[in-house]
Amino acid sequence: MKGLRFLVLLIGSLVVGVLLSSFTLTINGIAVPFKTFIPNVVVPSEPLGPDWLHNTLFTTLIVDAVIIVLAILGARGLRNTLTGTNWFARAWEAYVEYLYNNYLVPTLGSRAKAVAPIAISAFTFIMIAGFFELLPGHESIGKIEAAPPGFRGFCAVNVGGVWLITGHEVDPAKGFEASCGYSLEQAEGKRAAAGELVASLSSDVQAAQMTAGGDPNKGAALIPFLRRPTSSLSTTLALALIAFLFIEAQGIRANGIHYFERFIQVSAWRRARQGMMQGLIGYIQSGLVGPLELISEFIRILTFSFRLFGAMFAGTVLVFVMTSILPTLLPTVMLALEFAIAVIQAFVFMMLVTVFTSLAVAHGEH
Amino acid sequence: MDLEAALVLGKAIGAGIAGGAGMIGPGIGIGLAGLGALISIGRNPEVTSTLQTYMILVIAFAEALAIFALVISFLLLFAFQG
Repeated sequence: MKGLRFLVLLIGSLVVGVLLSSFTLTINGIAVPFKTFIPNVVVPSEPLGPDWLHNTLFTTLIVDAVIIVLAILGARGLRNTLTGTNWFARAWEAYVEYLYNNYLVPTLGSRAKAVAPIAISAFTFIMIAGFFELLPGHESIGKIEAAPPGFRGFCAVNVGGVWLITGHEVDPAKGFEASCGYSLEQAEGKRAAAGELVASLSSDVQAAQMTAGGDPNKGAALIPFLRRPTSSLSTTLALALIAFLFIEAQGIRANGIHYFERFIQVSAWRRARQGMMQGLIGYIQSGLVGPLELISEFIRILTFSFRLFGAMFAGTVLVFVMTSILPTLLPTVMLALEFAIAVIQAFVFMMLVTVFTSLAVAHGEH
Repeated sequence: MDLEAALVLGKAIGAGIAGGAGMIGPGIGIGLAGLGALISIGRNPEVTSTLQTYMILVIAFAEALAIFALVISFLLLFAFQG
């Protein structure tokens, strides 16, 4: 019985998906064909209005607000831990203690306390930022604009003041009307009769025309309000720089000036000169290993940032592609995978900070 | 063949090769990491939780290379203006 219900749901959503992937609606008195499509895939973050407010920064602020509110609620619950049982504070405790006891302490031992704030904060931020992929409207609700140069323009239609992108692409050589089958005035609806050309498109469009050289005749492009902060290289690079500086600072704090001996291997050189090690090998070790260590230290910035950016950006593109193939079942599976990837990447970031710190700290102690 | 067509063709071929060929090595690496962890867990089931952490870490290192290839192919496809 349960299996049958599952089968019916599966087949039903498949049918709905096939129906949704291409259909025609009558809007504003014109037949408007809709279909699934792959939107513009943009590597850098896109500005929303003012130049400094990009959509990834906007989402970063939301993620920060979510974490701060959760943290404040948890901290308020902590005050009466002794008297009452605040489940929220208990949940925070369990979360932090699980990571601390299972992953930080075994690797770092007594130094876990110094690393815990930054490692667990990074874990929380990356995880919650990754979960934003699951929000409805992520990368699909946003500001509509005339397609700037380098963007593909799409046919759009106005439904009660809200612009919908239909998924059909505008051929820039032919223009809006020839590609979509209806004119911009028709797409705008009633107001066009009063001579008010494409109201909400036009205000944004005129601004875009002046700044980016966009042309409403080349179709509309969507700039989403929400985009995962970690799918922009700027955010991941910032996280990587913080992690790098933190690791170096921990190394210097633990070993003092001797920390730099791994880059300029003075003692190995001295031993080689005194003939305590077998001549040539000692010189090679002292001369070559130092620079290699230095390079591998700086490569970490690159690997930290590109790993996170690549995983998140690839996930976004994957969901786009899957949605364009079949809008119901496939994206669900991909979003489940994205959920797992967000947690795993956050975990990997935390573990790498932990392991690299333990390497930097332990150097002088053998 | 005009320059624009050559550019599009080069982008597509380059992105395909970068993405596809770049996955071969990390695929082998992830497989080896999983193999090693599974053999160890099979012989000594008590270490499962410890091994899982290290296995995920090793897989992350191997996966990073695959992701670099993916990033290069994406940059070629979407960010390379030629």
